[in-house]
Amino acid sequence: MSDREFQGYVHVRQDSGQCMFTLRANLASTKIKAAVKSATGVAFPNRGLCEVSEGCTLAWMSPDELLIMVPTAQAQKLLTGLEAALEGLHVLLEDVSDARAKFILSGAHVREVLGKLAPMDCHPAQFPVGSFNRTRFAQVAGAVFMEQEDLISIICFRSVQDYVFTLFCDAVAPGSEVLL
Amino acid sequence: MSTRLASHGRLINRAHAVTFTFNGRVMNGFEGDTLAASLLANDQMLMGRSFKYHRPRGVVASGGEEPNALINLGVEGHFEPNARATTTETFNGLTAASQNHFPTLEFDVAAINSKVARFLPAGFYYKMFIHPRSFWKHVYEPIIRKSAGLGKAPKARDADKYEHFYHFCEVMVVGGGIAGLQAAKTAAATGVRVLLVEQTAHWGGRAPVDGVRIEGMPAEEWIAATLADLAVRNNVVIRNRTQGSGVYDHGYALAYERISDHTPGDGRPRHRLWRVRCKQIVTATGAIERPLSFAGNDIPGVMLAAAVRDYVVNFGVSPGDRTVVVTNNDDAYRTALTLKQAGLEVPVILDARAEGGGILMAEALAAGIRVELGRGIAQVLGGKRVTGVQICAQAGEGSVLEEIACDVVAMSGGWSPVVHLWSHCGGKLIWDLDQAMFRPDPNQPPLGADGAGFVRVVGLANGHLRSAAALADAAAQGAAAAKAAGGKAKKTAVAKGEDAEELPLAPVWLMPQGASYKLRSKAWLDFQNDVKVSDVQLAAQEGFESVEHAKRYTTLGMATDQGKLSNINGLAILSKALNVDIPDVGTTTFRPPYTPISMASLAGEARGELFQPIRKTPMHDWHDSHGADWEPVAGWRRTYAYLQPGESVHQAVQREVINTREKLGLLDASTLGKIVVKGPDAGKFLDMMYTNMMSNLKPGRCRYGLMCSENGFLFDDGVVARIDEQTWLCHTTSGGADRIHAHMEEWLQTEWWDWNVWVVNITEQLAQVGVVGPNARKLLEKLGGMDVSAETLPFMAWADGEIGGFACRAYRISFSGELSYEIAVPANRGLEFWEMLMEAGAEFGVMPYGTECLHIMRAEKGFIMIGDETDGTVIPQDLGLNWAISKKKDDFLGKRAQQRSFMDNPDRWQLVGLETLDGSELEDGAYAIAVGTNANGQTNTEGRVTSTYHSPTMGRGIAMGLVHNGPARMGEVLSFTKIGAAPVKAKIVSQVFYDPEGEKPNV
Repeated sequence: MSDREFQGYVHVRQDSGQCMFTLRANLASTKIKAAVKSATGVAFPNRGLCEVSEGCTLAWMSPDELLIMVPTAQAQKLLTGLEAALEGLHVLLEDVSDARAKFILSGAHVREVLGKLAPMDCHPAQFPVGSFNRTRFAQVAGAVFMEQEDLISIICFRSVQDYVFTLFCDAVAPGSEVLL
Repeated sequence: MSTRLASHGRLINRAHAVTFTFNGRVMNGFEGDTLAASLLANDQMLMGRSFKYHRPRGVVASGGEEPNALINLGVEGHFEPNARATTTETFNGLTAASQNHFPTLEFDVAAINSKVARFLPAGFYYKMFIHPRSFWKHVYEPIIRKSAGLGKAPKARDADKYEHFYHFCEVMVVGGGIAGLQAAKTAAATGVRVLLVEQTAHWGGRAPVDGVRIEGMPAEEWIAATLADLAVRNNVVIRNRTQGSGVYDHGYALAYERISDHTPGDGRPRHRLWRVRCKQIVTATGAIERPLSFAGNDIPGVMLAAAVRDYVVNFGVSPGDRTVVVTNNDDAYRTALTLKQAGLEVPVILDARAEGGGILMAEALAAGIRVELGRGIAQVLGGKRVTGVQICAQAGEGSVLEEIACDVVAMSGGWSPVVHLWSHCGGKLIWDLDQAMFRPDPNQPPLGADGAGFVRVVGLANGHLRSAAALADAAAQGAAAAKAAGGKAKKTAVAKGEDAEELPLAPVWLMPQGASYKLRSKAWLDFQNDVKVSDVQLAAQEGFESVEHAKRYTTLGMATDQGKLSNINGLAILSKALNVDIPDVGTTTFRPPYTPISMASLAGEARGELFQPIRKTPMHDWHDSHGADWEPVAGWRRTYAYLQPGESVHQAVQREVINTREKLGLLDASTLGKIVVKGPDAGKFLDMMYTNMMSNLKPGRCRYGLMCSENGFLFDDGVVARIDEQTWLCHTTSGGADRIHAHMEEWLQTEWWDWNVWVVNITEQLAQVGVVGPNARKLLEKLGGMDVSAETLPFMAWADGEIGGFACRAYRISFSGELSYEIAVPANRGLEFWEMLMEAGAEFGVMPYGTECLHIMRAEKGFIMIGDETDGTVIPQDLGLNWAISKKKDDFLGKRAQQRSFMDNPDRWQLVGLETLDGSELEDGAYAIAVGTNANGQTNTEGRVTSTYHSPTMGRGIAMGLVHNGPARMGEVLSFTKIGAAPVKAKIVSQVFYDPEGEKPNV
């Protein structure tokens, strides 16, 4: 994956330096929570949220799915630790690093750019910093992580990364500001 | 003459003149003009021709309800037909042309239609063109199609940019007049998020034109102050040039923002479609003035009374020097007073009411204007422009009492609330007898998911024609909407509106009330579609009693203005003709959008490169640069064949098959679905999903499996590998990955929620390469890293390992009938891995192959393909796949259905191979012809072709097909249809054409 970028009225950049793991498990289970917490050192996220610590991100995907994101350099260590901590529990942990593409939007108007493509309420009160949401970007599935007030990470499937990059470049075209 | 006045013009900037062209003529206007205002200022009253009779048409209104002033706007990539001059802002360089005439606007030969109008009554087309039947398609329709139509169809590709915007709020207010502003202000005070949209460039609606005072100040000042107040609130979004276009279920609404229609080429998108989700919608959409139905009311110069004063007050434009006002209400007196004040002549006000009006009439009399009570217009004089009117008694039949010269007639038949948005989602109307109008029935609103109303109508649109009542209504309902949407109740002051007292109107549906046929057949209801009073009466007489039928028979209200001016008048005429009350006739259906919106705004960003997402495998770009002829497969692009220089697609496919059979081929199989299933109950789960047993598969081994829907029909297949005690990996078809994943999740979540099974779709995590052909093992052994020998990795086994330095999982499976491996590596390394195989494979004659080669090789082996041999009606037993249906299992999805009598039955079409006697290829989908005909007189059939190819291996055509009792009829010769040719004879054979013993892959 390339690390392409585009400067519109919001900056769009692809970030390929992340590994991602999908954990299917009963997230209500205290054993699961404790195991994940001990292996990652990150607080367990509540519904619709992300928790981040030392570069490792836990994102709530559904009541039985967690997305774990970590810089590539830390990935192998984290995976080994997770596998050990979850040993014997009914879970499915899969490496999905290569199945996904990640882009970073940055700039003052990131929320409205998201609002052009994703049918979700992007208002700060409804989607505060730290929120995580599964949605769609125009015609493809995706997920959004509100990292900072002016910085959003978005995730899509690798097969449609060209489409998603073009989509966001188009949405940030200077002159197309909505300016709520 | 219409011209620019030295005075008035509150919306124009006289310091900023603009130049534009109309039909090639250069004209001048001012910034702030609508195109209609600019045209009138240049004495261009004639703006178009009507649809049916090509009669000359002038502008009649000043807003979105305009039926006549439709123009071709712009050129080439910026061309747009049917643009309304009344809602088009004039800008420097604007290019406009009139429509629906030949050769010119001033002289249109088709205007002869008008002279023979008595031969073209309602329903003429239906009556005339039905005889003889065959003439419609070949003679009448082509001619009518050519002569009909208003604007030209755009020819060039749209050069502008469009986008969508998803917006969420609690209260959406549609309409930025004083009622909308008041409603928004009241709602905003409760703290909820408010969206306020206004379709024009200006706020305040009619109030500033009509001399309304609010809180003791001129309306304009209150509007500015209220707008400033709203603008600083961070819970309010306000947007002008944005029309609330449609209301849909569940608080969904569309708003249509015209961003750069008036500033083309400035780099901004042209339109933005707001897709709004809100809890409550308040519509403050105002009201539309009704025309009066008198003879000659379509002659250019006859305008709505309020529109006449709009042009004077807003744009400083005089539609004419001498204006006769004709009315049934007090409001039109304002037009007379405005004209008088602007120094223009008003020779007479004709008030159809015998008693006349109130204060406004007194003011008119005081201003020295002649007022005639109980009088109406018998007929307007003039052709392309009004020259005068003939006055008559409203109570009579139209005897002319007097002729008065004038160049404008300002008519007012009362006001109709704009109830469209209320009605879009099911809001009902009541007939207000006193005001002679349909207004929203507050007891029958459109209902939301909770059973409560989610739309409220305020102000003029709710039937409150006076400003004090309109503002009070807006404040109350704005607060109620906010409360219903979760806002905190807060008391806000209601702005007090003041305007002149008015006496009630008298309904006038025909002028004079006893007008003769001659007059009625010149009294227009629908100006654009040329529907007259006499046409609606004829429709009623001929039995079209339902308003919906009468509409379609006469085309009343079917024009681009959707009857905004004509509907109420039309159904009043209809009610009279049927001798029933107006509410008993009812209205036609109000459908979104409120006025036409651009198709491109609906498409949004989805055009050109972004029209549709294309899924790409990790090796996509390599294929593209190596001659790939693409095929769309389930959103992916797969290589159909790799074309070498000078090759046709057919030649490439034949070469790929031969090379793979004789040497070595590579297939990009990354699109295959890959689903991991894990858990203590995973084996039990897969035994339910597949027709055969998966729980007893040994780790390290693979098994081909079939999946059926609960109705027993085969709907996916693929190889399942058991990874460890609790883990299986299921391969699905390329098109089936997402579908089968969802299918598994559905059963796990809804039916077997207590089974301990997890599922993850890892399709895109892996690049998968088929290494196929007699030299496959040689290549892998050359690269080294793992033992791929027949002993260690036998047929239908898999192993994790390394090949050429790539961590991988290798499967010994074959869909081609050759020695074959499928090797999965992480997707990010897929391209690298592929290139390594290509380079290292050169000495073994490696060539990539595409999906058509894959198809031919599997057909030569008699392997089925989901979507070819299956079509949703085929069960595995039809395909001779009984061996893959477990008899040991208690249950699997589809088992029960397959036991039904017509499924568990040998009397079905079943899979066989087919060989033409002459070696040619059968047509795909061709039917086997049986004796006799069916009840419909169609030839009976006894089978059909499901797959057919030219096999380079066999050197002849091969096919598979489903044939009645096929396997029992080996050797029989059947006749198959061939389009446009004689049937083709083909023999029933085994579908395994190549290597029937299966020795090739098992080496």
